[in-house]
Amino acid sequence: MPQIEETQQNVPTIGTQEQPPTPSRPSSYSFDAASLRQRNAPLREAVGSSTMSATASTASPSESDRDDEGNEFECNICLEMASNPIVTLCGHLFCWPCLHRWMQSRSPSANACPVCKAKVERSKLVPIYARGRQSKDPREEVIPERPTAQRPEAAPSQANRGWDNFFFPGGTIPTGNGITVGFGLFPSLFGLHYTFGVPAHLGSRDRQAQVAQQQAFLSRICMMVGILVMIAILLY
Amino acid sequence: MSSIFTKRLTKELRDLQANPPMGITVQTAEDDLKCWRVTVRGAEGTLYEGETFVLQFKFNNNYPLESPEVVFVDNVPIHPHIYSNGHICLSILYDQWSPALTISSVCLSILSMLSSATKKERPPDNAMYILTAKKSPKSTTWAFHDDSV
Ligand SMILES: [Zn+2]
Ligand SMILES: [Zn+2]
Repeated sequence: MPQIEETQQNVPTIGTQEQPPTPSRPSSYSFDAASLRQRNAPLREAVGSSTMSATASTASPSESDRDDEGNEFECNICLEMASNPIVTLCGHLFCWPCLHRWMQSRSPSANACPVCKAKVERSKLVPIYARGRQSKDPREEVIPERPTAQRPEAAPSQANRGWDNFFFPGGTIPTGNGITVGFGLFPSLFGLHYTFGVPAHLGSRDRQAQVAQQQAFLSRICMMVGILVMIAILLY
Repeated sequence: MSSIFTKRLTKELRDLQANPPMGITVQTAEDDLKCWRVTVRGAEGTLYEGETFVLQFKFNNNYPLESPEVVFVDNVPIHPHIYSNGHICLSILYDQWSPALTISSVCLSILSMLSSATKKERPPDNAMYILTAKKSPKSTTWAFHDDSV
């Protein structure tokens, strides 16, 4: 009997634990309804594809559109499917135009990731090149304001910061290479001049001086010999 | 610029109406979505249980890059970080704003700020502040001393 009382006591405690959520039910109902609808969508899709391929093909586009509204490829700023997608080092996805505007804004945290506050550097953004997305995107009207060519220059510069404006303007490697070669060789050319050119000059000057000295010495010896020969001839 | 503004606010409104977080209800979104009124209900088991308050959001064309102006209207909760003119001392509304924040997440932050209060009282400098403050809390230079409440 006491054991039963204990179990009976346990039941109400479970009941009281369950009670707090009950007042929240009216508002959570709508949440559940919406999430249930979302949960049902893939089910319907699965059923449709297994039984009737025709209905599945008509149903799936609208459902994938609906999924787009809340899926993981939304830009964290405009909350739409990211156009000209770009990813930060911390892994957060944005449209390039959206993130660019944020980074240009006067906000004190404009250099921070809007989602996680990690430092965001333009040179360390990674563009995502998906297939066919951009041509479909209705927000292309907005994109031309931000030259997409600016985007690629950011990504490869992980290797060389500072020169990223010169490296891949618009991803055209030849011009970039030409300039990097120019920049790369100039210092070494100067180095060559200094290390090889200048000693060479000094050496030739030394040689010339040595030759001149030797010539002067020889001419003096010749003069001495000549004078001695002259004296010898005169004396004998 | 304004196309993001309209699209994003339209989407936020649709999401909030379809899927409202607990205790948050959009009343109105007027004037081309530029002015919203959102009802927030004090959470159960907190000092504000059973009370409802109205938050007014005003957006400018730079939203979401710029924070909305958020104030309590009509019935202003008595809270150590809420001034009697409705201004809210909450960093995410000012210099800690991020465009990844939404109306919904702002409302939830304000609700959690209410929930964590241990005492219903006005900020110590309330009388002084409401005399000097401008109409918009965004023109105030805020100093955030206490992140816990
Ligand atoms: Zn975006
Ligand atoms: Zn991040």
